[in-house]
Amino acid sequence: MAVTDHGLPGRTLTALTGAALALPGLVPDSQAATPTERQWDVGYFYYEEGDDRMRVESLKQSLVLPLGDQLDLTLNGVRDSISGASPIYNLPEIRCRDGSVITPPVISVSGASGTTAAGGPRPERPALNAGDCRIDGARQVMLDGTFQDVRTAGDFKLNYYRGETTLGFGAGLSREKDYDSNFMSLDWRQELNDKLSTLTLGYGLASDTFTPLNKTNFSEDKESHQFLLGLTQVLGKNDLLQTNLTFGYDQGYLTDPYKNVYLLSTNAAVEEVRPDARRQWNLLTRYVHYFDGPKAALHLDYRYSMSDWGIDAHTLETFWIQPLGQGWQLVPRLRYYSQGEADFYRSYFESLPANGHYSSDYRLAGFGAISGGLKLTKQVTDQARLDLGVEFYDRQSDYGLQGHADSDFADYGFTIYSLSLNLKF
Amino acid sequence: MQSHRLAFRAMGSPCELQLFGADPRETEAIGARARADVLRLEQTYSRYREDSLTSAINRAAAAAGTIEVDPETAALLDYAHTCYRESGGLFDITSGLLRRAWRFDSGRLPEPGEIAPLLARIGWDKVVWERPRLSFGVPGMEIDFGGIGKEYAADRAAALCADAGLHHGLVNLGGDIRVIGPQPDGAPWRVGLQDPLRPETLLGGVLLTGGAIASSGDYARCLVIDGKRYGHILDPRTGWPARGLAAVSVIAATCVVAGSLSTIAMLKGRDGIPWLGALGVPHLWVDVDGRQGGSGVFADLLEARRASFRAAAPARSAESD
Repeated sequence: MAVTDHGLPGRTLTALTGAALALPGLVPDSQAATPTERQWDVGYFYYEEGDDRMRVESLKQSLVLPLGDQLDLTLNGVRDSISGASPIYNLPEIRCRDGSVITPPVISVSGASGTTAAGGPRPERPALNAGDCRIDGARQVMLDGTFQDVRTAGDFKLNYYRGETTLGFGAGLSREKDYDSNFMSLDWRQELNDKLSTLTLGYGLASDTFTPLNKTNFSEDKESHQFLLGLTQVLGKNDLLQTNLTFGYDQGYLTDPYKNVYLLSTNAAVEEVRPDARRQWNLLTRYVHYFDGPKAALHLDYRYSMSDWGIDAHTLETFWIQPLGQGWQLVPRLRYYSQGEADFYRSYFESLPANGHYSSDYRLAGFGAISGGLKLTKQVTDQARLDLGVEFYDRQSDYGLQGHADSDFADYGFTIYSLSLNLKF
Repeated sequence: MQSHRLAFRAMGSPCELQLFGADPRETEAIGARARADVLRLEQTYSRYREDSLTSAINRAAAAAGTIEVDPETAALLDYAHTCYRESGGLFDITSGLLRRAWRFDSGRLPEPGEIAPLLARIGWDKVVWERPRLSFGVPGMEIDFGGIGKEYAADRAAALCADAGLHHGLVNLGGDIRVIGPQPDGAPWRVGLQDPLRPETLLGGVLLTGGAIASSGDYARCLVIDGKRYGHILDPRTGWPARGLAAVSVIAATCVVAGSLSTIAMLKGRDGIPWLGALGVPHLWVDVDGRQGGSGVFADLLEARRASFRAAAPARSAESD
């Protein structure tokens, strides 16, 4: 055993501390998994889509209370104010040789009233098979900007710590004018192998009721189940690998009653219809590396998901946690997302498909998105921390990797600003 | 909340546990278990006891043999290996052989030629440590857990009490101190620090609400010959006492780390001062000329002391640096 270079002092402390923690009986057992400190979080978030679309203002609160040695309780509350316009369906645009651009007429719209282009639709659409005119793209018809709602939600989570095992139970509810949700979760975490590995099993259930404002005497239910299997493995002093596999099963009314599809054959916009069940698989792989030099941590995440609606998606995300000294910390984050389109998605339909499932919801289209953000944190005192964040998101039909129909008319972006305060007391 | 104090002797030092618990009988029982654990470690790792594991290891070492050790000892050897590596070979659990040449009660320096043959049998690099097997490459070697064992015992005693549900307490094993939370009223513990150059006086007190403090210094045992101090912390590369510093105290999360950092700093001599500074741990150093310095709570302590000196004897204020 040769004397190796005894490099950076920071490394020395880490090495000695790490070796000391490996000594048996040195860390109290309860220290590995224990109730957290009493703390209170309050945060304000402002979400704003481009082109004066949706805006959400959100106020969140969270309180963590240790209850004795083996229990802690987390209480969360959130109130969102939602306003703005959202797309209902897409109207094909017809381009003719004479240079005119014509949108076909809309005879009827189901549900909420939509606004079409200035000047209104023409009463007739030209023949598409004569060679003079053809469909070239589409544009979105928006739900009136007067759309407003307030969401109020609250939940609790109880954690029970016993040696290397943690059991969690949580439940909560969320209320909107037209959407109620009740949910619960159970999870079990087990530390193994001298706390180098953590195995997680989880189950979540949500039971939702939709009472859309555009319908009278209409109420439909939906049930969602989610199962999680996770493994976190410490690979060394500076490396950690995590993988989570989740399976979700949703059943019931999965249609969005505010979304329509446009039918070219009848010039009508009719309500979309989705299958009444969905199975979705998700695989997350996360690698974390700690750099001794800059004392920074790099997170690399890859997520793959697929569902029996035909949507498969890749997410690649990275962020860097950089302490700047004197309690400051900066976290830049970058994310790329690409999804394929649902089997029953079209921008618009010629006529109703035979299988009875159809949607033009832009969220089911094939597309890609790049998002990124920056979070600045300042530990003001031992007890108080302030977070300031900004995040942008840019959705582009062209960014998508999987083959899909062009939906660049649905491209949009949003920005989120956040400010939050964390107090330990 | 009842206080329970337990004083005993172990590892050649006075030891004290001060524990607070709701149920006095239970607190007493926890204290007894913590003491039993300290005594168990003394019995296992004492180099003075024939029946200790350290003696068994050293019998294998004497014959350049191999011995298989239990997981606890293996973790201690891993820790010792990390100390050796991170100190560039200064912290070496095989260096105890040098005590054969340096007898601090004899009043004399080693004979010329006494040290060199010992150095040939010293060096963690002459040992092959492949968990759980420890093999000695040279006959006549020796190891001891002197620089780790007492600190480890203090950490374990504190962890044992915390595990049993005590939230307030202090473990002091001959100056290696680990605290369990703050005092019951939330106030920090006040740990008195001996002045290394005037052992009968206190340098001051530092406040702790968690973690550990350990010190290393030559004030406890040293030779003074012709006005020159020879401390008992011996450099395994030269076989002579480390020079420059008289005492170092370090605060860390665990007593083992505080103890090894203070010992390594002593071994580094004056180079230990910038090294401790770069580590960023709260520390105090006193050099052989009586100069002092430090960081964190120790810097505050020194500042307070200077201020009180200036107030008491303004004429002497120029002397303190």
